[in-house]
Amino acid sequence: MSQKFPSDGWTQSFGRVINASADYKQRGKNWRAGAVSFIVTAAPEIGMTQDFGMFLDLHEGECRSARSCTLAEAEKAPFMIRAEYGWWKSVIRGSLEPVRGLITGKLKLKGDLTVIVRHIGAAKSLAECAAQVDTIFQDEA
Amino acid sequence: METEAQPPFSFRMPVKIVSGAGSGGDVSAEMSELGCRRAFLVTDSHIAASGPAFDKLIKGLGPRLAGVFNEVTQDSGFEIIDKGAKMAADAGADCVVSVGGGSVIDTGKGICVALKNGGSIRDHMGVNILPGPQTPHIVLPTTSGTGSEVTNVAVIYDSLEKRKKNLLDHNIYPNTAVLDPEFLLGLPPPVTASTGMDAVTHAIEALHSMMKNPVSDALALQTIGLMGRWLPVAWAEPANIAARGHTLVASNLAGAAFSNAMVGLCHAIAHGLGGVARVPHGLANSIALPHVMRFNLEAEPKLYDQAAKALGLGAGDEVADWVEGMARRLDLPTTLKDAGVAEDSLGEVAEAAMTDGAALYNPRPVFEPDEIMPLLRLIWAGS
Ligand SMILES: [Fe+2]
Repeated sequence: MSQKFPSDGWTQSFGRVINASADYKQRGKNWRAGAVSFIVTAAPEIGMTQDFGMFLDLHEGECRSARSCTLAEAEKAPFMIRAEYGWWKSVIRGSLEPVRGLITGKLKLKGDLTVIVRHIGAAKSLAECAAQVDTIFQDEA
Repeated sequence: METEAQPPFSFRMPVKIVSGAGSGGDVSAEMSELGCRRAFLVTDSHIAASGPAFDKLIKGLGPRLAGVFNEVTQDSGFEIIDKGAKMAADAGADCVVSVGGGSVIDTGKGICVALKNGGSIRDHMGVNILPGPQTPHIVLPTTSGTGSEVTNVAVIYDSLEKRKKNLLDHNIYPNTAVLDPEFLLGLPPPVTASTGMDAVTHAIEALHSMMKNPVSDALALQTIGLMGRWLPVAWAEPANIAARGHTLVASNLAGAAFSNAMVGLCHAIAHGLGGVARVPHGLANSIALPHVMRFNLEAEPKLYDQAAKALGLGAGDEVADWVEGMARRLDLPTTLKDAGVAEDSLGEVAEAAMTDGAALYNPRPVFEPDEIMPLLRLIWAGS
């Protein structure tokens, strides 16, 4: 079923795609650095009046839970990535490679970059999983 | 019909550059331009005792000097930054003036962040999360190598986890880089050689990086031209102010190039060699670079044609020979074997290199440690 991005339903679908991915199971198997949260910053021009948070509890190639979250919850994850709606769309569509997005300032990371780089394969696999979610973008709905 | 389009790119360089012999004496004027009145000076004990250029800086700052922190070490870390930030706050400083090599400059960047935001620098580690401009920062580099005076990264050692971490943020670019060659006059030839080769590596890697762009290309090509002409002079004549000036500008240009274009596999290997075998950064780059270039050329034969043209050489592969020739001229070892690295440590170096972010931008993609083992063996033994 198609899910609107961003939404709780989309986040849960993302979690299911991750857990169905043999590629992520393999490339993410050494990830023990904790949960990752994503923030889509508010974009009133497309009707998003507040920041939207997503929380992924990732561990050893598995997504133990995936749900929307408050900003306070997102802050508690060891890694929090924040970006504007348009850049998330580019990541999901595969036109913005996540680490390149970080380096060029389109994505902002709270946490230790070197850990992300050490698990670059897992990060790329997550982006590929996001691309597989049947997505309706909020501004195209 | 020619159809090869320029790929999209962005280029950022917000640092004011002031260059000239004796320019360190005018830091006070640069402070005024930034609206600052009390400078906290960050340096190391060696530079603080180093002579006329430093004395001129202190004299020029006069009553605007709020305090001096000279406790920066080679692998400066969280504790040193926090201590410096506390001293700066207690001294009522409103700007930081860093005088030194990469470690001092990166410590200065960390102090600017901790001073502005409070708490420990540990609380502010990340990528582009700082909300706005930080404590104003004026930097006077004392080597012609790192280019850190024009970059947005600080490498900070975490003594708890025993590894280096990166603070990467567009808000930590220094405000002003003061390039005063008088600070380099006492630099010993081996340090001139290895730091200079680091700058050459920044330029070459900016030229081959997957993030290369026309602006970084222009800066990098200018760097190799200047270094080719003046690095051997600065090495042979440490007090030659003209040579010091040209190499200082060259390393600055290379810094601006690679902070946008990034570096590649050579730096990944150098970082691995630094961590595993304690090989100094510039020397590791110098030894590895020609081999990495030949490795990349196998995949992209035209990769160094631009550089060859800039250096007046015939073909791209001659640029790798030029790099190796430069290292020989500067009396640097050209193999890891000669640099005292144990051959059985290469596996660990390969592992470390493949977890380094720099490898991501190499034009010939490499993902697994095994893929670079033959290359590392070449770097160890020489071709
Ligand atoms: Fe370097």
